[in-house]
Amino acid sequence: MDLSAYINSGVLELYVLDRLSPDERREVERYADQYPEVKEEITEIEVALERFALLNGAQALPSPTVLEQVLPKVRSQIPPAPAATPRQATPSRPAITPASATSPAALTWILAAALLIALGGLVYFYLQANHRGESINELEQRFSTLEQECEQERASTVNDQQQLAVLTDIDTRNVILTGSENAPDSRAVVFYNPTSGEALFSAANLPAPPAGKQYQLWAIDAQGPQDLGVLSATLSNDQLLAVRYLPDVAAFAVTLEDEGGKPSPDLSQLQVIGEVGS
Amino acid sequence: MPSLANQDNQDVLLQLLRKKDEAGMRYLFEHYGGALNNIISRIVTEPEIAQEVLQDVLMRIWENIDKYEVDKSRLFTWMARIARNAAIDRVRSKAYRKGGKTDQLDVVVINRNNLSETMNIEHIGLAKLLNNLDVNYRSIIDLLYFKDYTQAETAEALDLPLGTVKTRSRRALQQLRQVLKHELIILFITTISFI
Repeated sequence: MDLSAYINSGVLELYVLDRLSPDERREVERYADQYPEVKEEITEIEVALERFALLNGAQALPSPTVLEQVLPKVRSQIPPAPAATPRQATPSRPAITPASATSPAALTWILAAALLIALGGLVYFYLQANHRGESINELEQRFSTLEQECEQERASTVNDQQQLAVLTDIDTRNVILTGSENAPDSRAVVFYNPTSGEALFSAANLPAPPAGKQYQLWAIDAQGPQDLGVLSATLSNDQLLAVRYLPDVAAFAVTLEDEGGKPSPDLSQLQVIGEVGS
Repeated sequence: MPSLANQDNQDVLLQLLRKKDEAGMRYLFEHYGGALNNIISRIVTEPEIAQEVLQDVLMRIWENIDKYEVDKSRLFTWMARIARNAAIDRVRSKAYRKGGKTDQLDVVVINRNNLSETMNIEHIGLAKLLNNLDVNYRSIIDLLYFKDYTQAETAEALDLPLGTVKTRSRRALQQLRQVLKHELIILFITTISFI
Protein backbone atom coordinates (compact mmCIF):
# COMPACT_ATOMS: atom_id res chain seq x y z
CA MET A 1 0.00 0.00 0.00
CA ASP A 2 1.16 3.54 -0.73
CA LEU A 3 1.56 4.96 2.76
CA SER A 4 2.15 8.58 1.81
CA ALA A 5 -0.85 8.57 -0.51
CA TYR A 6 -2.92 7.22 2.34
CA ILE A 7 -1.60 9.85 4.73
CA ASN A 8 -2.21 12.57 2.14
CA SER A 9 -5.74 11.41 1.36
CA GLY A 10 -7.19 13.41 4.26
CA VAL A 11 -8.75 10.38 5.90
CA LEU A 12 -6.55 10.77 8.98
CA GLU A 13 -7.77 14.33 9.48
CA LEU A 14 -11.36 13.16 9.27
CA TYR A 15 -10.49 10.38 11.69
CA VAL A 16 -9.21 12.82 14.30
CA LEU A 17 -12.20 15.07 13.60
CA ASP A 18 -14.38 12.03 14.30
CA ARG A 19 -16.09 12.31 10.95
CA LEU A 20 -15.65 8.77 9.65
CA SER A 21 -18.03 5.87 9.50
CA PRO A 22 -17.33 3.08 12.01
CA ASP A 23 -15.86 0.92 9.22
CA GLU A 24 -13.53 3.64 8.01
CA ARG A 25 -12.56 4.38 11.58
CA ARG A 26 -11.62 0.78 12.28
CA GLU A 27 -9.55 0.74 9.12
CA VAL A 28 -7.62 3.81 10.21
CA GLU A 29 -7.02 2.27 13.62
CA ARG A 30 -5.75 -0.90 12.01
CA TYR A 31 -3.30 1.06 9.87
CA ALA A 32 -2.22 3.12 12.87
CA ASP A 33 -1.37 -0.05 14.75
CA GLN A 34 0.46 -1.39 11.75
CA TYR A 35 2.38 1.67 10.55
CA PRO A 36 4.15 4.02 12.98
CA GLU A 37 4.10 6.77 10.31
CA VAL A 38 0.31 6.75 10.30
CA LYS A 39 0.20 6.83 14.11
CA GLU A 40 2.67 9.71 14.13
CA GLU A 41 0.68 11.69 11.58
CA ILE A 42 -2.50 11.19 13.58
CA THR A 43 -0.77 12.48 16.70
CA GLU A 44 0.47 15.55 14.84
CA ILE A 45 -3.00 16.27 13.55
CA GLU A 46 -4.33 15.86 17.09
CA VAL A 47 -1.71 18.27 18.43
CA ALA A 48 -2.54 20.85 15.75
CA LEU A 49 -6.27 20.70 16.40
CA GLU A 50 -5.64 20.73 20.10
CA ARG A 51 -3.62 23.91 19.96
CA PHE A 52 -6.18 25.41 17.66
CA ALA A 53 -8.90 24.58 20.18
CA LEU A 54 -6.87 25.85 23.12
CA LEU A 55 -6.13 29.13 21.37
CA ASN A 56 -9.80 29.49 20.53
CA GLY A 57 -10.65 28.59 24.11
CA ALA A 58 -8.55 31.44 25.43
CA GLN A 59 -11.44 33.78 24.66
CA ALA A 60 -14.19 31.40 25.69
CA LEU A 61 -13.24 31.06 29.33
CA PRO A 62 -16.22 29.61 31.18
CA SER A 63 -17.65 31.24 34.25
CA PRO A 64 -16.03 30.07 37.52
CA THR A 65 -19.51 29.15 38.74
CA VAL A 66 -19.28 26.06 36.54
CA LEU A 67 -16.37 24.79 38.62
CA GLU A 68 -18.15 25.75 41.82
CA GLN A 69 -21.15 23.71 40.80
CA VAL A 70 -19.16 20.72 39.66
CA LEU A 71 -16.83 20.41 42.64
CA PRO A 72 -19.50 19.34 45.20
CA LYS A 73 -20.63 16.62 42.82
CA VAL A 74 -17.06 15.45 42.45
CA ARG A 75 -16.48 15.45 46.19
CA SER A 76 -19.53 13.29 46.78
CA GLN A 77 -18.00 10.74 44.42
CA ILE A 78 -14.60 10.68 46.04
CA PRO A 79 -14.47 7.79 48.53
CA PRO A 80 -13.90 9.43 51.93
CA ALA A 81 -10.45 8.86 53.35
CA PRO A 82 -10.48 7.04 56.75
CA ALA A 83 -9.55 10.20 58.67
CA ALA A 84 -11.71 12.51 56.58
CA THR A 85 -14.63 14.52 57.90
CA PRO A 86 -17.44 12.17 58.93
CA ARG A 87 -19.67 12.31 55.90
CA GLN A 88 -23.06 10.68 56.18
CA ALA A 89 -22.20 7.03 56.76
CA THR A 90 -23.72 5.27 53.81
CA PRO A 91 -24.84 1.70 54.46
CA SER A 92 -22.65 0.59 51.56
CA ARG A 93 -19.53 1.21 53.64
CA PRO A 94 -20.08 -0.67 56.89
CA ALA A 95 -16.36 -1.38 57.21
CA ILE A 96 -15.76 2.20 58.32
CA THR A 97 -17.83 1.85 61.49
CA PRO A 98 -15.80 -0.76 63.38
CA ALA A 99 -12.56 0.93 62.39
CA SER A 100 -13.65 4.30 63.75
CA ALA A 101 -14.96 2.60 66.90
CA THR A 102 -11.51 1.28 67.77
CA SER A 103 -10.07 3.24 70.70
CA PRO A 104 -6.60 4.83 70.42
CA ALA A 105 -5.24 2.47 73.12
CA ALA A 106 -6.35 -0.59 71.16
CA LEU A 107 -4.80 0.94 68.08
CA THR A 108 -1.49 1.30 69.92
CA TRP A 109 -1.64 -2.37 70.95
CA ILE A 110 -2.44 -3.42 67.42
CA LEU A 111 0.47 -1.40 66.11
CA ALA A 112 2.80 -2.85 68.75
CA ALA A 113 1.67 -6.36 67.89
CA ALA A 114 2.17 -5.70 64.20
CA LEU A 115 5.66 -4.37 64.92
CA LEU A 116 6.47 -7.44 67.00
CA ILE A 117 5.26 -9.76 64.27
CA ALA A 118 7.31 -7.83 61.72
CA LEU A 119 10.42 -8.05 63.95
CA GLY A 120 9.84 -11.75 64.53
CA GLY A 121 9.54 -12.26 60.80
CA LEU A 122 12.75 -10.35 60.26
CA VAL A 123 14.67 -12.49 62.77
CA TYR A 124 13.20 -15.65 61.30
CA PHE A 125 14.24 -14.71 57.78
CA TYR A 126 17.68 -13.64 58.99
CA LEU A 127 18.27 -17.00 60.65
CA GLN A 128 16.95 -18.83 57.67
CA ALA A 129 19.23 -16.89 55.35
CA ASN A 130 22.21 -17.73 57.59
CA HIS A 131 21.31 -21.38 57.61
CA ARG A 132 20.99 -21.40 53.86
CA GLY A 133 24.38 -19.74 53.54
CA GLU A 134 25.93 -22.57 55.54
CA SER A 135 24.26 -25.28 53.51
CA ILE A 136 25.44 -23.59 50.36
CA ASN A 137 29.04 -23.57 51.60
CA GLU A 138 28.81 -27.22 52.51
CA LEU A 139 27.32 -28.11 49.15
CA GLU A 140 30.01 -26.12 47.38
CA GLN A 141 32.70 -28.08 49.16
CA ARG A 142 31.08 -31.38 48.36
CA PHE A 143 30.66 -30.31 44.80
CA SER A 144 34.32 -29.38 44.36
CA THR A 145 35.37 -32.66 45.98
CA LEU A 146 33.18 -34.55 43.54
CA GLU A 147 34.59 -32.52 40.71
CA GLN A 148 38.14 -33.48 41.67
CA GLU A 149 37.16 -37.11 42.06
CA CYS A 150 35.49 -37.05 38.72
CA GLU A 151 38.59 -35.54 37.14
CA GLN A 152 40.73 -38.26 38.70
CA GLU A 153 38.37 -40.95 37.48
CA ARG A 154 38.49 -39.50 34.03
CA ALA A 155 42.29 -39.43 33.97
CA SER A 156 42.41 -42.99 35.25
CA THR A 157 39.89 -44.10 32.65
CA VAL A 158 41.92 -42.50 29.88
CA ASN A 159 45.01 -44.23 31.24
CA ASP A 160 43.17 -47.58 31.40
CA GLN A 161 41.95 -47.18 27.86
CA GLN A 162 45.44 -46.46 26.62
CA GLN A 163 46.75 -49.51 28.44
CA LEU A 164 43.90 -51.61 27.16
CA ALA A 165 44.73 -50.47 23.65
CA VAL A 166 48.30 -51.67 24.18
CA LEU A 167 47.14 -54.99 25.63
CA THR A 168 44.74 -55.74 22.81
CA ASP A 169 47.15 -54.73 20.07
CA ILE A 170 48.11 -57.83 18.05
CA ASP A 171 51.75 -56.67 17.91
CA THR A 172 51.99 -56.73 21.71
CA ARG A 173 54.07 -59.53 23.07
CA ASN A 174 53.48 -61.13 26.43
CA VAL A 175 56.80 -61.54 28.18
CA ILE A 176 56.35 -63.76 31.22
CA LEU A 177 59.09 -63.22 33.78
CA THR A 178 59.45 -66.46 35.75
CA GLY A 179 61.11 -66.89 39.14
CA SER A 180 64.83 -67.64 39.48
CA GLU A 181 66.12 -70.01 42.10
CA ASN A 182 66.16 -67.03 44.54
CA ALA A 183 62.39 -66.82 44.31
CA PRO A 184 60.92 -69.77 42.40
CA ASP A 185 57.28 -68.70 42.96
CA SER A 186 57.67 -65.09 41.83
CA ARG A 187 56.11 -64.01 38.55
CA ALA A 188 55.90 -60.81 36.57
CA VAL A 189 54.71 -59.81 33.10
CA VAL A 190 55.95 -57.30 30.59
CA PHE A 191 53.77 -56.31 27.62
CA TYR A 192 56.16 -55.22 24.96
CA ASN A 193 55.04 -53.64 21.68
CA PRO A 194 57.89 -52.70 19.30
CA THR A 195 55.42 -51.40 16.68
CA SER A 196 53.86 -48.68 18.85
CA GLY A 197 56.94 -48.36 21.08
CA GLU A 198 55.20 -49.03 24.36
CA ALA A 199 55.91 -51.21 27.36
CA LEU A 200 53.76 -52.13 30.37
CA PHE A 201 54.78 -53.98 33.50
CA SER A 202 52.74 -55.93 35.98
CA ALA A 203 54.08 -57.60 39.11
CA ALA A 204 51.89 -60.67 38.77
CA ASN A 205 53.28 -62.26 41.89
CA LEU A 206 56.11 -60.51 43.72
CA PRO A 207 56.19 -60.76 47.49
CA ALA A 208 56.62 -57.52 49.45
CA PRO A 209 60.34 -56.59 49.49
CA PRO A 210 62.22 -56.90 52.81
CA ALA A 211 62.91 -53.69 54.76
CA GLY A 212 65.57 -51.49 53.12
CA LYS A 213 65.19 -53.29 49.79
CA GLN A 214 63.39 -52.46 46.53
CA TYR A 215 62.72 -54.32 43.32
CA GLN A 216 64.41 -52.86 40.25
CA LEU A 217 63.37 -53.56 36.67
CA TRP A 218 65.92 -54.08 33.91
CA ALA A 219 65.82 -54.40 30.13
CA ILE A 220 68.63 -56.43 28.68
CA ASP A 221 69.67 -55.54 25.15
CA ALA A 222 72.89 -55.71 23.08
CA GLN A 223 74.53 -53.15 25.42
CA GLY A 224 73.74 -55.16 28.54
CA PRO A 225 71.22 -54.43 31.31
CA GLN A 226 69.45 -51.05 31.14
CA ASP A 227 67.82 -49.53 34.20
CA LEU A 228 64.03 -49.11 33.86
CA GLY A 229 63.53 -47.85 37.40
CA VAL A 230 62.70 -49.17 40.86
CA LEU A 231 59.26 -50.44 41.76
CA SER A 232 57.38 -48.69 44.51
CA ALA A 233 57.29 -50.77 47.67
CA THR A 234 53.55 -50.44 47.72
CA LEU A 235 53.04 -51.55 44.13
CA SER A 236 50.28 -54.14 44.21
CA ASN A 237 50.40 -57.24 42.03
CA ASP A 238 47.42 -56.39 39.90
CA GLN A 239 48.58 -52.88 38.95
CA LEU A 240 49.67 -52.20 35.38
CA LEU A 241 52.62 -49.86 35.09
CA ALA A 242 53.72 -47.99 31.98
CA VAL A 243 57.53 -48.24 31.79
CA ARG A 244 60.17 -46.61 29.60
CA TYR A 245 60.32 -48.23 26.16
CA LEU A 246 63.64 -49.36 24.72
CA PRO A 247 63.96 -50.91 21.26
CA ASP A 248 65.37 -54.38 20.56
CA VAL A 249 65.14 -55.66 24.12
CA ALA A 250 66.13 -59.32 24.41
CA ALA A 251 64.92 -59.92 27.93
CA PHE A 252 63.39 -58.27 31.01
CA ALA A 253 64.50 -58.96 34.56
CA VAL A 254 63.79 -57.85 38.12
CA THR A 255 66.44 -57.82 40.83
CA LEU A 256 66.19 -57.07 44.53
CA GLU A 257 68.45 -54.09 45.31
CA ASP A 258 69.12 -51.71 48.18
CA GLU A 259 66.52 -48.97 48.49
CA GLY A 260 66.89 -46.40 45.70
CA GLY A 261 68.25 -48.86 43.17
CA LYS A 262 71.64 -49.33 41.51
CA PRO A 263 73.08 -48.23 38.13
CA SER A 264 73.90 -51.87 37.30
CA PRO A 265 72.17 -54.98 38.55
CA ASP A 266 73.37 -57.36 41.20
CA LEU A 267 72.64 -60.52 39.24
CA SER A 268 73.01 -62.68 42.35
CA GLN A 269 69.78 -61.04 43.52
CA LEU A 270 67.89 -61.89 40.33
CA GLN A 271 64.21 -62.50 41.15
CA VAL A 272 62.43 -63.04 37.83
CA ILE A 273 63.52 -63.03 34.21
CA GLY A 274 61.86 -63.59 30.84
CA GLU A 275 63.03 -63.48 27.22
CA VAL A 276 61.27 -61.48 24.58
CA GLY A 277 60.16 -64.00 22.04
CA SER A 278 60.07 -63.15 18.35
CA MET B 1 -4.45 29.98 32.50
CA PRO B 2 -4.88 28.26 29.20
CA SER B 3 -1.52 27.05 28.02
CA LEU B 4 -0.51 25.42 24.80
CA ALA B 5 -1.25 21.76 24.74
CA ASN B 6 1.76 19.86 25.86
CA GLN B 7 1.94 16.28 26.84
CA ASP B 8 3.12 17.03 30.37
CA ASN B 9 -0.08 18.89 31.16
CA GLN B 10 -2.14 16.01 29.93
CA ASP B 11 -0.08 13.44 31.80
CA VAL B 12 -0.57 15.38 35.02
CA LEU B 13 -4.26 15.73 34.35
CA LEU B 14 -4.67 12.07 33.52
CA GLN B 15 -2.93 11.00 36.72
CA LEU B 16 -5.03 13.28 38.88
CA LEU B 17 -8.24 12.18 37.22
CA ARG B 18 -7.38 8.51 37.56
CA LYS B 19 -6.64 9.00 41.24
CA LYS B 20 -10.07 10.64 41.56
CA ASP B 21 -8.33 13.63 43.05
CA GLU B 22 -10.42 16.76 43.36
CA ALA B 23 -7.38 18.69 42.13
CA GLY B 24 -7.88 16.86 38.82
CA MET B 25 -11.20 18.61 38.29
CA ARG B 26 -9.68 21.99 39.09
CA TYR B 27 -6.81 21.31 36.72
CA LEU B 28 -9.19 20.19 34.01
CA PHE B 29 -11.26 23.32 34.40
CA GLU B 30 -8.33 25.70 34.50
CA HIS B 31 -6.39 24.25 31.58
CA TYR B 32 -9.07 22.94 29.29
CA GLY B 33 -12.30 24.61 30.43
CA GLY B 34 -11.92 27.33 27.82
CA ALA B 35 -11.25 25.01 24.94
CA LEU B 36 -14.10 22.67 25.86
CA ASN B 37 -16.41 25.61 26.43
CA ASN B 38 -15.49 26.95 23.01
CA ILE B 39 -16.32 23.67 21.33
CA ILE B 40 -19.64 23.46 23.15
CA SER B 41 -20.70 27.07 22.59
CA ARG B 42 -20.08 26.78 18.85
CA ILE B 43 -22.85 24.21 18.77
CA VAL B 44 -25.01 25.28 21.70
CA THR B 45 -25.40 28.98 21.11
CA GLU B 46 -27.39 29.83 24.24
CA PRO B 47 -24.90 30.70 26.99
CA GLU B 48 -26.88 29.30 29.93
CA ILE B 49 -27.46 25.99 28.21
CA ALA B 50 -23.86 25.85 27.02
CA GLN B 51 -22.82 26.26 30.64
CA GLU B 52 -25.03 23.33 31.67
CA VAL B 53 -23.51 21.20 28.93
CA LEU B 54 -20.02 22.13 30.07
CA GLN B 55 -20.84 20.99 33.60
CA ASP B 56 -22.18 17.78 32.20
CA VAL B 57 -19.05 17.29 30.08
CA LEU B 58 -16.72 17.89 33.01
CA MET B 59 -18.62 15.25 34.99
CA ARG B 60 -18.57 12.81 32.10
CA ILE B 61 -14.81 13.20 31.78
CA TRP B 62 -14.46 12.72 35.53
CA GLU B 63 -16.65 9.64 35.63
CA ASN B 64 -15.43 7.94 32.45
CA ILE B 65 -11.70 8.56 32.69
CA ASP B 66 -11.14 4.80 33.03
CA LYS B 67 -12.59 4.33 29.56
CA TYR B 68 -9.99 6.60 27.99
CA GLU B 69 -7.41 4.56 26.06
CA VAL B 70 -3.98 6.15 26.06
CA ASP B 71 -2.78 4.43 22.90
CA LYS B 72 -5.86 5.29 20.85
CA SER B 73 -5.76 9.08 21.06
CA ARG B 74 -4.47 12.01 23.03
CA LEU B 75 -6.44 12.90 26.14
CA PHE B 76 -7.61 16.19 24.68
CA THR B 77 -8.91 14.56 21.51
CA TRP B 78 -10.96 12.24 23.68
CA MET B 79 -12.27 15.09 25.84
CA ALA B 80 -13.10 17.20 22.79
CA ARG B 81 -15.17 14.34 21.39
CA ILE B 82 -17.12 14.06 24.63
CA ALA B 83 -17.72 17.81 24.56
CA ARG B 84 -18.88 17.85 20.98
CA ASN B 85 -21.10 14.80 21.36
CA ALA B 86 -22.68 16.22 24.51
CA ALA B 87 -23.35 19.49 22.75
CA ILE B 88 -24.80 17.75 19.72
CA ASP B 89 -27.01 15.58 21.93
CA ARG B 90 -28.34 18.68 23.61
CA VAL B 91 -29.04 20.45 20.34
CA ARG B 92 -30.90 17.41 19.06
CA SER B 93 -32.94 16.94 22.21
CA LYS B 94 -36.54 17.97 22.16
CA ALA B 95 -36.01 20.49 24.93
CA TYR B 96 -33.64 22.44 22.77
CA ARG B 97 -35.32 23.98 19.81
CA LYS B 98 -33.32 26.62 18.15
CA GLY B 99 -32.56 27.50 14.56
CA GLY B 100 -30.91 24.99 12.23
CA LYS B 101 -27.26 24.56 11.54
CA THR B 102 -27.15 26.89 8.61
CA ASP B 103 -27.28 30.11 10.56
CA GLN B 104 -24.46 28.92 12.79
CA LEU B 105 -22.00 29.59 10.01
CA ASP B 106 -22.29 33.25 10.88
CA VAL B 107 -21.00 32.65 14.36
CA VAL B 108 -17.55 32.05 13.00
CA VAL B 109 -17.55 35.41 11.29
CA ILE B 110 -18.84 37.17 14.38
CA ASN B 111 -16.22 35.57 16.53
CA ARG B 112 -13.59 36.67 14.10
CA ASN B 113 -14.73 40.27 14.27
CA ASN B 114 -14.60 40.15 18.03
CA LEU B 115 -11.01 39.06 17.86
CA SER B 116 -9.56 42.32 16.66
CA GLU B 117 -11.12 44.14 19.60
CA THR B 118 -9.69 42.00 22.37
CA MET B 119 -5.97 42.30 22.48
CA ASN B 120 -3.81 40.39 24.84
CA ILE B 121 -0.87 38.20 24.03
CA GLU B 122 -2.87 35.10 23.29
CA HIS B 123 -5.42 36.96 21.28
CA ILE B 124 -2.76 38.50 19.12
CA GLY B 125 -1.51 35.02 18.49
CA LEU B 126 -4.93 33.72 17.55
CA ALA B 127 -5.82 36.73 15.46
CA LYS B 128 -2.66 36.30 13.46
CA LEU B 129 -3.28 32.63 13.22
CA LEU B 130 -6.78 33.00 11.89
CA ASN B 131 -5.77 35.75 9.50
CA ASN B 132 -3.08 33.55 8.14
CA LEU B 133 -5.47 30.71 7.61
CA ASP B 134 -7.19 30.64 4.28
CA VAL B 135 -10.92 31.36 4.69
CA ASN B 136 -11.85 28.17 2.85
CA TYR B 137 -9.68 26.11 5.11
CA ARG B 138 -10.89 27.82 8.22
CA SER B 139 -14.49 27.15 7.45
CA ILE B 140 -13.88 23.48 6.75
CA ILE B 141 -12.10 23.01 10.08
CA ASP B 142 -14.88 24.88 11.75
CA LEU B 143 -17.64 22.80 10.22
CA LEU B 144 -15.96 19.49 10.85
CA TYR B 145 -14.39 20.17 14.22
CA PHE B 146 -16.64 22.62 15.94
CA LYS B 147 -19.97 21.74 14.41
CA ASP B 148 -22.21 18.80 13.98
CA TYR B 149 -21.48 18.42 10.30
CA THR B 150 -20.94 15.16 8.54
CA GLN B 151 -18.72 14.96 5.48
CA ALA B 152 -21.77 15.16 3.26
CA GLU B 153 -23.27 18.12 5.06
CA THR B 154 -19.96 19.92 4.97
CA ALA B 155 -19.74 19.34 1.23
CA GLU B 156 -23.21 20.72 0.81
CA ALA B 157 -22.66 23.74 3.04
CA LEU B 158 -19.48 24.70 1.25
CA ASP B 159 -20.83 23.70 -2.16
CA LEU B 160 -18.03 21.23 -2.75
CA PRO B 161 -17.98 17.71 -4.21
CA LEU B 162 -17.95 15.14 -1.40
CA GLY B 163 -14.52 13.80 -2.37
CA THR B 164 -13.03 17.25 -2.04
CA VAL B 165 -13.93 17.44 1.65
CA LYS B 166 -11.27 14.91 2.46
CA THR B 167 -8.48 16.55 0.48
CA ARG B 168 -9.57 19.98 1.61
CA SER B 169 -9.52 18.97 5.27
CA ARG B 170 -6.04 17.57 4.71
CA ARG B 171 -4.82 20.82 3.21
CA ALA B 172 -6.56 22.83 5.91
CA LEU B 173 -4.83 20.90 8.65
CA GLN B 174 -1.51 21.16 6.86
CA GLN B 175 -1.89 24.91 6.72
CA LEU B 176 -3.02 25.04 10.30
CA ARG B 177 0.08 23.19 11.37
CA GLN B 178 2.23 25.53 9.35
CA VAL B 179 0.59 28.57 10.87
CA LEU B 180 0.80 27.14 14.36
CA LYS B 181 4.51 26.58 13.96
CA HIS B 182 4.92 30.19 12.99
CA GLU B 183 2.58 31.30 15.73
CA LEU B 184 4.46 29.39 18.37
CA ILE B 185 7.60 31.33 17.54
CA ILE B 186 5.76 34.64 17.82
CA LEU B 187 4.23 33.64 21.12
CA PHE B 188 7.63 32.54 22.34
CA ILE B 189 9.28 35.82 21.40
CA THR B 190 6.40 37.81 22.90
CA THR B 191 6.66 35.88 26.14
CA ILE B 192 10.42 36.39 26.31
CA SER B 193 10.22 40.12 25.70
CA PHE B 194 7.38 40.28 28.21
CA ILE B 195 9.65 38.80 30.87
